[in-house]
Amino acid sequence: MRAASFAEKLLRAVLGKQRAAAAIGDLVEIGCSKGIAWFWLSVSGCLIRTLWRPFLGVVVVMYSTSWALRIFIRAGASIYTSHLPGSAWMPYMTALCGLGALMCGAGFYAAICYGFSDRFTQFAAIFSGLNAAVVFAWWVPGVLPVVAVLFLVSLAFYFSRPDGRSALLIAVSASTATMFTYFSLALALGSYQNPLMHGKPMGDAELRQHPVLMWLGFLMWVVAAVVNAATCSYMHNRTKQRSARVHMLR
Amino acid sequence: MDYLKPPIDKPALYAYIVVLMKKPASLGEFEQIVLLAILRLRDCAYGVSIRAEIAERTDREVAPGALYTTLDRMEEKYLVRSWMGEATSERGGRPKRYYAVTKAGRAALVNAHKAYQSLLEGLDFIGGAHASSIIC
Repeated sequence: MRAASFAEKLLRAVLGKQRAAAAIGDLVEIGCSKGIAWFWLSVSGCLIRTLWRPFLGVVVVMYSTSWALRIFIRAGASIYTSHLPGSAWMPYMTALCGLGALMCGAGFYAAICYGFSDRFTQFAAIFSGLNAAVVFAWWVPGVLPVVAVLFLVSLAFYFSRPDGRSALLIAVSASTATMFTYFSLALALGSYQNPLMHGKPMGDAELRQHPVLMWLGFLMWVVAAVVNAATCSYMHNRTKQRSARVHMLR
Repeated sequence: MDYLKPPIDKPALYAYIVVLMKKPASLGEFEQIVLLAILRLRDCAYGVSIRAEIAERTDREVAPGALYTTLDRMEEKYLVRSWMGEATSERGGRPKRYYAVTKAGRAALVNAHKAYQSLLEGLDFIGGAHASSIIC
């Protein structure tokens, strides 16, 4: 019975109170004839089957966001270096690259957790695709107007549908929360790093000298990825519940 | 027997969602098995009984984790609905979670059955002349 109470507490964290109680009740009812090993194997099975997608999703968010950001920034740099003055282009291109990378990561997370038929997955894919078109093919005549038209059409389409508006809300929330977290942590890390390095730029030698900065940078990336995934997940559940309530009230 | 009845607001919600759905959802093999087991059990479909029904009818031992994940996924797709039932001492005082198939779930099952029927048409492989060639 103590094992069942402990297992219920574990499951409650991932399934919620009622579902966990019902699941453990079922396992206790069957487990009388099957033994304690079967009981714990079944509890582990429940945990793994519920958690593997979010865990894989967070890892993929981390990798895909850093990968997309790297190639976007590299390609985007060519825009503001070849169109002087660079200072006028740089903030917009960096923001575009950052947003594109964020949506790319969130899109992979949504594809793993909710599938390709989900509206938010589709929106993230459209946004990342259009973003990539601007960053990689901005010099091709007609690309910018076509991308602008496609973006406005997809925005209008998404605004016209309840599930589309939910997808936009998820996108805005996830981007805002992740940006806020990332820049807050970057500010904190900068205020720690600057006195340490006396304001000098950092290279490989400095990182070897202060490995803690590298680990803190990595930790910052992990926290930002977790916030991105968690906001997507939370807002996805909230908008789903809300749309169900709206349907009920009509 | 009040616990066997779903909450009063839910049928309206599901009926509305069924109207909103343009075409029935496509079902995997295990989802069909679970839906059919719930339909067979009528008002007493909960985790243990669904698992037992599947084992009895298909000789297939289903892992509880697989069953709960499938039931949750189908509930998210509005193919089944659930409500909490009574707590019993053999369950350590924990309540049962009962399941019922919604209209959308029935429609999806009918759709899947029609697809099978269409594919089976003209094959006559169960004991028919075609059987030996298919087995070989």
